[in-house]
Amino acid sequence: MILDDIPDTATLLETLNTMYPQMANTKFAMALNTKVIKENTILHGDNNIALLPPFSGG
Amino acid sequence: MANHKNNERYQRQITLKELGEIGQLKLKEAKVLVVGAGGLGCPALLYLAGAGIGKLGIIDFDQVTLSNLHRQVIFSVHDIGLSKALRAADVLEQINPDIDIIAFNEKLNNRNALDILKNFDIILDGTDNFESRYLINDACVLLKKTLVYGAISRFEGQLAVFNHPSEIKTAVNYRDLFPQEPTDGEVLNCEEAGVIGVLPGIIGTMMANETIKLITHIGDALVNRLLTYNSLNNHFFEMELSANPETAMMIPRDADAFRAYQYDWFCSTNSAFDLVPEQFQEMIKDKNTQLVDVREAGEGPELADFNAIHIPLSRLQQQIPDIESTNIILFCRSGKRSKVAAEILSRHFGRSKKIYSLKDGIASWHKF
Repeated sequence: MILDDIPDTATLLETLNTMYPQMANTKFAMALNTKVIKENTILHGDNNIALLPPFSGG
Repeated sequence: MANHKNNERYQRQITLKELGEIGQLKLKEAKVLVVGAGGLGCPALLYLAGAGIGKLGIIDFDQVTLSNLHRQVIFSVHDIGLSKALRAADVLEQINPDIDIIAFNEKLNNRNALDILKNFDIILDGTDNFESRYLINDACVLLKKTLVYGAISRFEGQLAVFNHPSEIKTAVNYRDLFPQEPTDGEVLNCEEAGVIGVLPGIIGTMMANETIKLITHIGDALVNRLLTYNSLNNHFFEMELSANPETAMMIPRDADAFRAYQYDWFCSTNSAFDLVPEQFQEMIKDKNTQLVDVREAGEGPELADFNAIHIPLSRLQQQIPDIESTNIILFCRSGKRSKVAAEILSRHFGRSKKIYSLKDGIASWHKF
Protein backbone atom coordinates (compact mmCIF):
# COMPACT_ATOMS: atom_id res chain seq x y z
CA MET A 1 0.00 0.00 0.00
CA ILE A 2 1.21 3.55 -0.71
CA LEU A 3 0.59 6.37 1.77
CA ASP A 4 1.44 10.06 1.23
CA ASP A 5 2.30 12.91 3.59
CA ILE A 6 3.39 10.81 6.55
CA PRO A 7 6.05 12.78 8.48
CA ASP A 8 7.27 9.99 10.77
CA THR A 9 6.74 6.37 11.74
CA ALA A 10 4.59 7.24 14.79
CA THR A 11 2.13 9.04 12.50
CA LEU A 12 2.22 6.07 10.17
CA LEU A 13 1.22 3.76 13.02
CA GLU A 14 -1.61 6.10 14.05
CA THR A 15 -2.85 6.18 10.46
CA LEU A 16 -2.72 2.41 10.17
CA ASN A 17 -4.46 1.97 13.53
CA THR A 18 -7.30 4.17 12.29
CA MET A 19 -7.55 2.21 9.05
CA TYR A 20 -7.25 -1.19 10.77
CA PRO A 21 -8.43 -0.87 14.39
CA GLN A 22 -7.62 -4.53 15.15
CA MET A 23 -3.92 -3.67 14.70
CA ALA A 24 -3.92 -2.07 18.14
CA ASN A 25 -4.09 -5.53 19.72
CA THR A 26 -1.30 -7.15 17.74
CA LYS A 27 2.46 -7.31 18.17
CA PHE A 28 4.82 -6.63 15.28
CA ALA A 29 8.26 -5.34 14.44
CA MET A 30 8.76 -2.52 11.93
CA ALA A 31 11.47 -2.29 9.31
CA LEU A 32 12.29 0.98 7.54
CA ASN A 33 14.11 0.38 4.25
CA THR A 34 15.10 -3.11 5.39
CA LYS A 35 16.39 -2.04 8.82
CA VAL A 36 14.41 -2.91 11.91
CA ILE A 37 13.64 0.23 13.94
CA LYS A 38 12.38 0.56 17.50
CA GLU A 39 11.84 4.31 17.89
CA ASN A 40 9.87 6.97 16.09
CA THR A 41 11.79 7.88 12.93
CA ILE A 42 11.38 10.89 10.60
CA LEU A 43 10.48 9.91 7.05
CA HIS A 44 11.99 11.82 4.07
CA GLY A 45 11.17 11.04 0.45
CA ASP A 46 10.15 7.53 -0.55
CA ASN A 47 10.45 4.84 2.07
CA ASN A 48 9.69 1.18 2.15
CA ILE A 49 8.15 0.09 5.42
CA ALA A 50 7.47 -3.49 6.39
CA LEU A 51 5.54 -4.72 9.42
CA LEU A 52 6.49 -8.11 10.68
CA PRO A 53 4.42 -10.16 13.12
CA PRO A 54 6.02 -12.86 15.29
CA PHE A 55 5.46 -16.41 13.98
CA SER A 56 5.41 -19.41 16.23
CA GLY A 57 4.53 -22.22 13.85
CA GLY A 58 6.82 -25.11 13.14
CA MET B 1 37.25 -49.19 5.05
CA ALA B 2 34.96 -46.81 6.91
CA ASN B 3 36.93 -43.90 5.55
CA HIS B 4 36.66 -45.24 2.03
CA LYS B 5 32.92 -45.64 2.40
CA ASN B 6 32.55 -42.14 3.82
CA ASN B 7 34.45 -40.64 0.94
CA GLU B 8 31.87 -42.24 -1.30
CA ARG B 9 28.96 -41.16 0.93
CA TYR B 10 29.98 -37.51 0.93
CA GLN B 11 31.63 -37.46 -2.50
CA ARG B 12 29.11 -35.07 -4.10
CA GLN B 13 29.56 -32.40 -1.45
CA ILE B 14 33.33 -32.88 -1.00
CA THR B 15 33.59 -32.20 -4.74
CA LEU B 16 32.51 -28.61 -4.04
CA LYS B 17 35.84 -26.86 -3.67
CA GLU B 18 34.35 -24.44 -1.11
CA LEU B 19 33.54 -27.40 1.13
CA GLY B 20 36.14 -30.07 0.27
CA GLU B 21 37.61 -32.59 2.70
CA ILE B 22 38.31 -29.90 5.28
CA GLY B 23 34.66 -28.87 5.29
CA GLN B 24 33.62 -32.49 5.61
CA LEU B 25 35.88 -32.88 8.64
CA LYS B 26 34.29 -29.78 10.20
CA LEU B 27 30.85 -31.31 9.68
CA LYS B 28 32.06 -34.50 11.34
CA GLU B 29 33.28 -32.54 14.36
CA ALA B 30 30.10 -30.44 14.64
CA LYS B 31 27.52 -30.92 17.38
CA VAL B 32 24.03 -29.81 16.38
CA LEU B 33 20.76 -30.04 18.33
CA VAL B 34 17.38 -29.83 16.61
CA VAL B 35 14.58 -28.85 18.99
CA GLY B 36 11.29 -30.21 17.70
CA ALA B 37 11.04 -33.08 15.19
CA GLY B 38 8.07 -31.45 13.48
CA GLY B 39 7.45 -29.66 10.19
CA LEU B 40 10.71 -27.68 10.39
CA GLY B 41 12.77 -30.23 12.31
CA CYS B 42 12.10 -33.24 10.04
CA PRO B 43 13.58 -31.86 6.80
CA ALA B 44 16.41 -30.20 8.72
CA LEU B 45 17.28 -33.49 10.44
CA LEU B 46 17.20 -35.49 7.20
CA TYR B 47 19.67 -33.15 5.48
CA LEU B 48 21.91 -32.68 8.50
CA ALA B 49 22.17 -36.45 9.00
CA GLY B 50 22.84 -36.88 5.30
CA ALA B 51 25.54 -34.19 5.33
CA GLY B 52 27.43 -36.03 8.09
CA ILE B 53 26.98 -33.85 11.18
CA GLY B 54 29.10 -35.86 13.66
CA LYS B 55 26.82 -35.47 16.64
CA LEU B 56 23.16 -34.80 15.95
CA GLY B 57 20.68 -34.33 18.81
CA ILE B 58 16.88 -34.44 18.55
CA ILE B 59 14.58 -33.35 21.33
CA ASP B 60 10.81 -33.78 21.17
CA PHE B 61 8.32 -34.99 23.77
CA ASP B 62 5.46 -35.64 21.35
CA GLN B 63 4.16 -38.69 19.49
CA VAL B 64 3.45 -39.02 15.78
CA THR B 65 -0.16 -38.44 14.71
CA LEU B 66 -1.86 -38.83 11.32
CA SER B 67 -2.23 -35.05 10.96
CA ASN B 68 1.58 -34.70 11.20
CA LEU B 69 2.34 -36.75 8.11
CA HIS B 70 1.61 -34.09 5.47
CA ARG B 71 4.63 -32.10 6.63
CA GLN B 72 6.72 -34.19 9.05
CA VAL B 73 8.45 -36.11 6.30
CA ILE B 74 10.51 -38.49 8.44
CA PHE B 75 7.44 -40.39 9.62
CA SER B 76 5.00 -42.85 8.05
CA VAL B 77 1.62 -44.32 9.04
CA HIS B 78 3.46 -47.15 10.83
CA ASP B 79 4.90 -44.59 13.26
CA ILE B 80 1.60 -43.20 14.56
CA GLY B 81 1.66 -43.20 18.35
CA LEU B 82 5.46 -43.59 18.54
CA SER B 83 7.84 -41.06 20.08
CA LYS B 84 8.94 -38.55 17.43
CA ALA B 85 12.44 -38.23 18.87
CA LEU B 86 13.10 -41.97 19.10
CA ARG B 87 11.49 -42.78 15.77
CA ALA B 88 13.35 -39.96 13.99
CA ALA B 89 16.61 -41.27 15.46
CA ASP B 90 15.88 -44.75 14.00
CA VAL B 91 15.17 -43.36 10.54
CA LEU B 92 18.25 -41.11 10.55
CA GLU B 93 20.37 -44.02 11.71
CA GLN B 94 19.30 -45.89 8.56
CA ILE B 95 20.22 -42.91 6.39
CA ASN B 96 23.61 -42.41 8.01
CA PRO B 97 24.85 -45.02 10.50
CA ASP B 98 28.26 -43.31 10.66
CA ILE B 99 27.09 -40.37 12.78
CA ASP B 100 26.21 -40.18 16.43
CA ILE B 101 22.46 -39.53 16.91
CA ILE B 102 21.16 -38.65 20.35
CA ALA B 103 17.41 -38.64 20.99
CA PHE B 104 15.78 -36.88 23.94
CA ASN B 105 12.19 -38.06 24.34
CA GLU B 106 11.22 -35.22 26.67
CA LYS B 107 9.97 -31.64 26.67
CA LEU B 108 12.61 -28.96 26.72
CA ASN B 109 11.93 -26.75 29.74
CA ASN B 110 13.75 -24.24 31.90
CA ARG B 111 14.96 -27.01 34.22
CA ASN B 112 16.62 -29.27 31.64
CA ALA B 113 17.46 -26.82 28.82
CA LEU B 114 20.86 -25.61 29.99
CA ASP B 115 22.13 -29.14 30.70
CA ILE B 116 21.00 -30.41 27.31
CA LEU B 117 22.00 -27.40 25.16
CA LYS B 118 25.49 -27.07 26.65
CA ASN B 119 26.62 -30.24 24.85
CA PHE B 120 25.97 -28.80 21.38
CA ASP B 121 27.47 -25.93 19.31
CA ILE B 122 24.52 -24.96 17.14
CA ILE B 123 20.86 -25.15 18.15
CA LEU B 124 18.03 -25.26 15.59
CA ASP B 125 14.67 -24.02 16.81
CA GLY B 126 11.94 -25.94 15.00
CA THR B 127 9.36 -25.66 17.77
CA ASP B 128 5.76 -24.57 17.33
CA ASN B 129 5.08 -22.28 20.30
CA PHE B 130 6.36 -19.04 21.80
CA GLU B 131 7.03 -20.55 25.19
CA SER B 132 9.74 -22.79 23.68
CA ARG B 133 11.05 -20.12 21.35
CA TYR B 134 11.78 -17.60 24.12
CA LEU B 135 13.16 -20.35 26.33
CA ILE B 136 15.54 -21.58 23.62
CA ASN B 137 16.61 -18.03 22.76
CA ASP B 138 17.41 -17.17 26.37
CA ALA B 139 19.26 -20.46 26.94
CA CYS B 140 21.37 -19.82 23.81
CA VAL B 141 22.23 -16.31 25.05
CA LEU B 142 23.23 -17.62 28.49
CA LEU B 143 25.31 -20.46 27.01
CA LYS B 144 26.65 -18.38 24.07
CA LYS B 145 25.35 -20.82 21.46
CA THR B 146 24.45 -20.03 17.87
CA LEU B 147 20.71 -20.30 17.24
CA VAL B 148 19.34 -21.11 13.80
CA TYR B 149 15.77 -19.91 13.94
CA GLY B 150 12.90 -20.83 11.64
CA ALA B 151 9.18 -20.20 12.05
CA ILE B 152 6.09 -20.28 9.90
CA SER B 153 2.58 -18.90 9.90
CA ARG B 154 0.05 -19.76 7.21
CA PHE B 155 1.86 -19.06 3.91
CA GLU B 156 4.88 -17.21 5.26
CA GLY B 157 8.13 -18.26 6.86
CA GLN B 158 10.90 -16.55 8.82
CA LEU B 159 14.54 -17.56 9.01
CA ALA B 160 17.47 -16.07 10.94
CA VAL B 161 20.75 -16.85 12.67
CA PHE B 162 20.75 -15.42 16.17
CA ASN B 163 23.37 -15.05 18.83
CA HIS B 164 26.23 -15.99 16.54
CA PRO B 165 29.61 -14.85 17.88
CA SER B 166 31.34 -12.48 15.48
CA GLU B 167 34.30 -10.13 15.75
CA ILE B 168 32.63 -7.38 13.76
CA LYS B 169 28.99 -7.53 14.85
CA THR B 170 27.31 -7.62 18.25
CA ALA B 171 25.29 -10.82 18.42
CA VAL B 172 21.58 -10.18 17.99
CA ASN B 173 19.02 -12.49 19.56
CA TYR B 174 15.30 -13.13 19.09
CA ARG B 175 14.34 -10.68 21.85
CA ASP B 176 16.02 -7.86 19.89
CA LEU B 177 13.32 -8.41 17.29
CA PHE B 178 10.36 -9.31 19.51
CA PRO B 179 11.29 -8.33 23.08
CA GLN B 180 8.34 -9.87 24.81
CA GLU B 181 6.21 -12.93 24.51
CA PRO B 182 2.91 -12.23 22.79
CA THR B 183 -0.15 -12.91 24.90
CA ASP B 184 -2.99 -15.22 24.02
CA GLY B 185 -4.99 -14.05 21.04
CA GLU B 186 -2.25 -11.80 19.67
CA VAL B 187 -1.10 -14.48 17.22
CA LEU B 188 -2.53 -17.71 15.86
CA ASN B 189 -0.85 -21.03 16.54
CA CYS B 190 -0.22 -23.60 13.81
CA GLU B 191 -3.27 -25.64 14.66
CA GLU B 192 -5.57 -22.64 14.35
CA ALA B 193 -3.75 -21.09 11.42
CA GLY B 194 -3.20 -24.11 9.14
CA VAL B 195 -0.21 -24.77 6.90
CA ILE B 196 0.68 -26.45 3.60
CA GLY B 197 3.37 -29.07 4.27
CA VAL B 198 5.77 -27.63 1.70
CA LEU B 199 6.34 -24.36 3.59
CA PRO B 200 8.00 -25.84 6.71
CA GLY B 201 9.79 -28.14 4.25
CA ILE B 202 11.33 -25.08 2.56
CA ILE B 203 12.14 -23.19 5.77
CA GLY B 204 13.43 -26.30 7.60
CA THR B 205 15.66 -27.14 4.64
CA MET B 206 16.99 -23.57 4.66
CA MET B 207 17.72 -23.95 8.38
CA ALA B 208 19.85 -27.01 7.58
CA ASN B 209 21.58 -25.05 4.81
CA GLU B 210 22.43 -22.15 7.17
CA THR B 211 23.77 -24.68 9.69
CA ILE B 212 26.04 -26.33 7.13
CA LYS B 213 27.28 -22.89 5.96
CA LEU B 214 28.05 -21.82 9.53
CA ILE B 215 29.98 -25.01 10.26
CA THR B 216 31.98 -25.07 7.04
CA HIS B 217 32.41 -21.26 6.82
CA ILE B 218 31.06 -20.98 3.31
CA GLY B 219 28.86 -18.18 1.98
CA ASP B 220 27.07 -15.56 4.08
CA ALA B 221 24.83 -17.01 6.74
CA LEU B 222 21.84 -14.93 7.89
CA VAL B 223 23.74 -13.65 10.91
CA ASN B 224 21.82 -10.72 12.46
CA ARG B 225 19.46 -10.72 9.51
CA LEU B 226 15.91 -11.96 9.19
CA LEU B 227 14.61 -13.41 5.97
CA THR B 228 10.91 -13.73 5.32
CA TYR B 229 9.48 -15.84 2.54
CA ASN B 230 5.98 -15.65 1.16
CA SER B 231 5.05 -18.92 -0.51
CA LEU B 232 2.05 -17.42 -2.33
CA ASN B 233 3.93 -14.82 -4.37
CA ASN B 234 7.53 -16.08 -3.89
CA HIS B 235 8.65 -12.80 -2.39
CA PHE B 236 11.71 -12.89 -0.21
CA PHE B 237 12.29 -9.94 2.10
CA GLU B 238 15.38 -9.49 4.17
CA MET B 239 15.89 -7.10 7.06
CA GLU B 240 18.84 -6.14 9.17
CA LEU B 241 18.58 -6.51 12.92
CA SER B 242 20.46 -4.68 15.61
CA ALA B 243 21.07 -5.35 19.27
CA ASN B 244 18.79 -3.52 21.67
CA PRO B 245 20.19 -2.78 25.16
CA GLU B 246 16.69 -2.71 26.66
CA THR B 247 15.89 -6.25 25.58
CA ALA B 248 19.09 -7.53 27.16
CA MET B 249 17.39 -6.74 30.49
CA MET B 250 14.60 -9.19 29.70
CA ILE B 251 16.87 -12.19 29.43
CA PRO B 252 17.39 -14.03 32.74
CA ARG B 253 20.84 -12.97 33.91
CA ASP B 254 22.06 -16.38 35.06
CA ALA B 255 21.14 -20.05 35.32
CA ASP B 256 19.16 -19.56 38.55
CA ALA B 257 17.07 -16.75 37.10
CA PHE B 258 16.53 -18.82 33.95
CA ARG B 259 15.19 -21.76 35.99
CA ALA B 260 12.87 -19.39 37.85
CA TYR B 261 11.50 -17.66 34.73
CA GLN B 262 7.93 -18.66 33.91
CA TYR B 263 8.02 -19.24 30.17
CA ASP B 264 4.50 -20.63 30.12
CA TRP B 265 3.02 -17.58 31.80
CA PHE B 266 1.80 -15.90 28.64
CA CYS B 267 0.14 -19.05 27.31
CA SER B 268 -2.37 -18.93 30.10
CA THR B 269 -5.68 -17.15 29.80
CA ASN B 270 -5.24 -16.02 33.38
CA SER B 271 -2.06 -14.35 34.51
CA ALA B 272 -2.37 -15.72 38.05
CA PHE B 273 -0.24 -18.83 38.26
CA ASP B 274 0.23 -21.56 40.78
CA LEU B 275 3.81 -22.03 41.93
CA VAL B 276 4.89 -25.40 43.27
CA PRO B 277 7.32 -25.28 46.25
CA GLU B 278 10.29 -26.14 44.03
CA GLN B 279 9.62 -23.13 41.76
CA PHE B 280 8.90 -20.96 44.77
CA GLN B 281 12.29 -21.90 46.21
CA GLU B 282 13.99 -20.77 42.96
CA MET B 283 11.99 -17.58 42.57
CA ILE B 284 12.56 -16.21 46.05
CA LYS B 285 16.26 -15.95 45.15
CA ASP B 286 15.36 -13.27 42.62
CA LYS B 287 15.70 -9.82 44.15
CA ASN B 288 13.17 -8.35 41.71
CA THR B 289 10.39 -10.56 42.98
CA GLN B 290 8.13 -9.13 45.66
CA LEU B 291 6.70 -11.59 48.16
CA VAL B 292 3.35 -10.75 49.70
CA ASP B 293 2.08 -12.52 52.81
CA VAL B 294 -1.75 -12.30 52.67
CA ARG B 295 -2.39 -13.95 56.04
CA GLU B 296 -4.08 -11.94 58.79
CA ALA B 297 -1.96 -10.20 61.40
CA GLY B 298 -0.52 -12.52 64.04
CA GLU B 299 -1.10 -15.70 62.08
CA GLY B 300 1.71 -18.26 62.26
CA PRO B 301 4.08 -19.69 61.40
CA GLU B 302 6.46 -16.76 61.32
CA LEU B 303 8.88 -16.79 58.43
CA ALA B 304 12.54 -15.94 58.67
CA ASP B 305 13.73 -17.46 55.40
CA PHE B 306 12.89 -14.48 53.19
CA ASN B 307 11.56 -10.94 53.20
CA ALA B 308 7.91 -10.41 52.45
CA ILE B 309 5.54 -7.49 52.79
CA HIS B 310 2.44 -8.19 54.81
CA ILE B 311 -0.94 -7.33 53.31
CA PRO B 312 -3.83 -9.35 54.78
CA LEU B 313 -6.34 -10.46 52.14
CA SER B 314 -9.01 -8.40 53.92
CA ARG B 315 -7.00 -5.23 53.19
CA LEU B 316 -5.67 -6.12 49.75
CA GLN B 317 -7.99 -3.89 47.69
CA GLN B 318 -6.98 -0.76 49.66
CA GLN B 319 -3.29 -1.62 49.63
CA ILE B 320 -2.88 -2.46 45.93
CA PRO B 321 -0.81 0.73 45.42
CA ASP B 322 1.83 -0.74 47.80
CA ILE B 323 2.60 -3.45 45.27
CA GLU B 324 5.22 -2.08 42.92
CA SER B 325 7.26 -4.97 41.58
CA THR B 326 6.36 -6.59 38.25
CA ASN B 327 6.92 -10.07 39.71
CA ILE B 328 4.68 -10.84 42.64
CA ILE B 329 4.36 -14.02 44.66
CA LEU B 330 1.41 -14.25 47.02
CA PHE B 331 1.26 -16.79 49.78
CA CYS B 332 -0.88 -17.76 52.76
CA ARG B 333 -1.07 -20.84 54.96
CA SER B 334 -2.83 -23.30 52.62
CA GLY B 335 -2.86 -21.58 49.21
CA LYS B 336 -6.59 -20.70 49.17
CA ARG B 337 -6.43 -17.04 50.13
CA SER B 338 -3.33 -16.39 48.03
CA LYS B 339 -5.23 -17.74 45.02
CA VAL B 340 -8.09 -15.30 45.70
CA ALA B 341 -5.51 -12.53 46.14
CA ALA B 342 -3.90 -13.51 42.82
CA GLU B 343 -7.26 -13.22 41.09
CA ILE B 344 -7.86 -9.77 42.59
CA LEU B 345 -4.41 -8.53 41.54
CA SER B 346 -4.72 -10.15 38.16
CA ARG B 347 -7.97 -8.28 37.48
CA HIS B 348 -6.35 -5.06 38.62
CA PHE B 349 -3.00 -5.30 36.82
CA GLY B 350 -3.97 -7.44 33.81
CA ARG B 351 -0.82 -8.58 32.07
CA SER B 352 1.34 -5.71 33.24
CA LYS B 353 2.57 -7.83 36.16
CA LYS B 354 3.40 -11.47 36.62
CA ILE B 355 1.38 -12.75 39.52
CA TYR B 356 1.90 -16.06 41.26
CA SER B 357 0.30 -17.89 44.14
CA LEU B 358 2.19 -20.47 46.21
CA LYS B 359 0.26 -23.70 45.70
CA ASP B 360 -0.90 -25.34 48.94
CA GLY B 361 0.65 -22.49 50.88
CA ILE B 362 3.46 -22.16 53.39
CA ALA B 363 2.41 -25.50 54.91
CA SER B 364 3.51 -27.43 51.81
CA TRP B 365 6.59 -25.32 51.27
CA HIS B 366 7.78 -26.06 54.80
CA LYS B 367 7.48 -29.78 54.14
CA PHE B 368 9.48 -29.29 50.95
